[in-house]
Amino acid sequence: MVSSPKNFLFLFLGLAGLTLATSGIALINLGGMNFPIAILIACLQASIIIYYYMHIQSAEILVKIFAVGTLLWLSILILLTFNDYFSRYWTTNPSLWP
Amino acid sequence: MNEHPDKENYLMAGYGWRSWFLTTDHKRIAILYMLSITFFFAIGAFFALLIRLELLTPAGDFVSSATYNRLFTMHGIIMVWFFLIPSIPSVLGNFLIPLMIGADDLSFPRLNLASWYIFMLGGIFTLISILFGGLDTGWTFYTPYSSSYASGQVLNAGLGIIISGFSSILTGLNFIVTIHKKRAPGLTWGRLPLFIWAHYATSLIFVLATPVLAVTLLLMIVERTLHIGIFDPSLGGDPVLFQHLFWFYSHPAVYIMILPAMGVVSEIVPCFSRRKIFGYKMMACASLAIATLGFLVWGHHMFVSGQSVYAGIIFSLFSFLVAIPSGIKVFNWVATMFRGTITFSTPMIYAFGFIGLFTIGGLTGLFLAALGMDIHVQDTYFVVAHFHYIMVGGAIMGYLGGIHFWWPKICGRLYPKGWPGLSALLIFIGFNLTFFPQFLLGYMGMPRRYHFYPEEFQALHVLSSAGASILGVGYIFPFFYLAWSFFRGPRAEPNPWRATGLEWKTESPPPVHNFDQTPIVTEDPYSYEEKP
Amino acid sequence: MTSSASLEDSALMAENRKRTAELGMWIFLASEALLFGGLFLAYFVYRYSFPQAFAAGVRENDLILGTINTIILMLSALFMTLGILAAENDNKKSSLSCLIMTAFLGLTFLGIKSLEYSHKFQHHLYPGGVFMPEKNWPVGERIFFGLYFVMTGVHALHLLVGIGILAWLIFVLSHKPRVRDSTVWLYTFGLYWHYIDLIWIFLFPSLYLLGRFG
Repeated sequence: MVSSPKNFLFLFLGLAGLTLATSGIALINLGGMNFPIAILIACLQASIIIYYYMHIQSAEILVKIFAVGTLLWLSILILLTFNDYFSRYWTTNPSLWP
Repeated sequence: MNEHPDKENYLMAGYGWRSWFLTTDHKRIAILYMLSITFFFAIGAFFALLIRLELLTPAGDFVSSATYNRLFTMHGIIMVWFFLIPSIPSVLGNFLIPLMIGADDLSFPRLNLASWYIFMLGGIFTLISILFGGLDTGWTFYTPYSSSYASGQVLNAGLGIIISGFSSILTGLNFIVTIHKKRAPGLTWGRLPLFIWAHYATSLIFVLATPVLAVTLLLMIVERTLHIGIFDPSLGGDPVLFQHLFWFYSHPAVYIMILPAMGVVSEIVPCFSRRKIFGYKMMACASLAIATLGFLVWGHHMFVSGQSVYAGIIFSLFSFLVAIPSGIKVFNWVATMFRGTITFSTPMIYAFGFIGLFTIGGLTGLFLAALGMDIHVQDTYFVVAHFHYIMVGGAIMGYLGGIHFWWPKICGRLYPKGWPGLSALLIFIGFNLTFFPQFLLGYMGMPRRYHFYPEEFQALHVLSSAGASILGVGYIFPFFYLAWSFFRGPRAEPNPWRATGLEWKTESPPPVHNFDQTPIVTEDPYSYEEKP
Repeated sequence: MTSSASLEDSALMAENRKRTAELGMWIFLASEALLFGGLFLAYFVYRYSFPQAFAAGVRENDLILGTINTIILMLSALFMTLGILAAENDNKKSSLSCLIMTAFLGLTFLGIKSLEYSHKFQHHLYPGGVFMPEKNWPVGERIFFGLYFVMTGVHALHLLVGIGILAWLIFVLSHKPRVRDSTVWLYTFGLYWHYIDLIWIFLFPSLYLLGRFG
């Protein structure tokens, strides 16, 4: 797909632009929105790297399965641990129930 | 195919240090691993001997409390990371995976050699830690004791384990790529031996779980040296976070230890029942299911740690679920034997031992998975007995069964008659005598990691120590008769057991490149019923 | 193993080698993801427990240096890719200069990182020894800086190893007549290099951005 130096230059400019944007936004107080916006931009940058720089779309299906599996396992690690942290004080403090 | 004693096989292809220590032949690397882990087993067994000697009497009179803490810590660390985890994958897996799939070697042979060197480097760090007095944190390194208060060789041992972890990751990586990329023509996934399926599942765990151990021990070491506060409550840290991170690896690690043994049993049982495996598809799926579900249950080691009871409920539920595929496997092995023609060869004796002892160990795991019951028996000898039934009664018996089954293939000779059967019997009797009393002790309240105890527990402890001595004798015999067999045993033909599987279609021992011509697979695995 | 010498076969074998190396590297990267995953877990757990302390810690980090470093890493990824493209076109000189530029940018990143570290040491914001003696810092801030050093340290270690391997690759390739035969090595290494960038993309907001406003 993307295999010309010019395209990669544009991708770099895009990534750099997103970086400047996310740094700039971090300096503005958007309240609760700062967190999701920063994460979203990071995910966008990550997608660009994985799709174009790491050529995942031209890799075989097995590689794609491993990439998805990795994300899944990471979420198991984080979510199942947070399962404990979110609910730790539920017995002593029922007001914390969702 | 007649074997020619003078024909060049992998054992005779080159002599001298370089041909062994710079080899990239997976078969030679398997032998290197076999010698290394046998060495570590001897060290771990020595610590076990000292432990059982101390526990003969109720008073803590043989060693001091501090020394006893070091003994069980070192026993655990050496046995888990330097014997059990590498045992079947790095010895039998390395030797057999390319042979079973009709390949000439693994996908990354030099990486395979690097794995062994990294493993030995980790072992050296750990041996250094022993030489300088060891550590007393328990093999579980719980914080804040290990990170703030323990004296001793925590750093060296931790580094040794981290390094050996990288060896595991690379081995797992090598196995996964090999199984995907180097299967012989006609060897579809549905025709793979269950040994391969088991090692594939194990390799997934190697790759996904071991890095978390590395980073966890790293954090513990950083906390210990730099006091950043992540596990220190006085600085805001949470010791339970360490336990989450530690058990995220260490629970799947126990499946690393048992899945390959199950793969071995799945090869032995059909061969010596002369029947194809019952429920091949379910067996393959069960291996993958155990590997997957095994990642969801780690909190069952933490029911009494201060973890949320709601999290405990979820972990308990998943722990019950993970028992199902294990139960399926036991059922299928027994169903395979039904109406079969059983031969009580040495591998088959070990397989029988595995099935029985693993079942007991697994069932007692269910007791531990139940929240209420676990509160009563957690941190008692009940837990100790449970995991030794699986690790020793299961995994080690699987390893020994596999060594005996493939011994003719590995060295081209047969082991003697009589001695192996006697050893297996001594191991079985000794094992049960050692560890069954420990279930009773634990249930009655004997805590683990204690070296003095009330008088009323002594009888059971004496039984246990007596059993341990029988077990020890049983383990020593194979050293001698296998060594004898290697040098002077009767020559073996390529397929002395008339087993199915590609590894039996080449000479014993195999030539350096395994097969003279790439085999082409046309039949399903375990086609025993076509050749009674 | 038999192998015929036809052109078709050798192309197939080259493709097979590439696919094998690619799969191997992605599996390795999966393990690396879990490695950093453990660190991110610790980070998220303590951010959840000490949001204000972590916000204060984030404010202490130099946003400008962090942004510059992020862009430097992305530039290095660009040059890495250009190096691989040039190698596929058998342009040895162009390929090697791109790779050298990549390594140089990686070293620049590390240089700026050391600058940041030395700033922190000057302000006693490092774990161990005398830690933040002047003010009354909120509980959890010490943990933030501890994690900051461990996470960026492990990342920097991976980058250093990457630069080392890159230097070795540059050395080996400069002595080969044709670069085109070594594209599998470059391509596989490139995956690792981009991965280091990927990790930083998530480290950067975690340690420099999130919570600047508390």
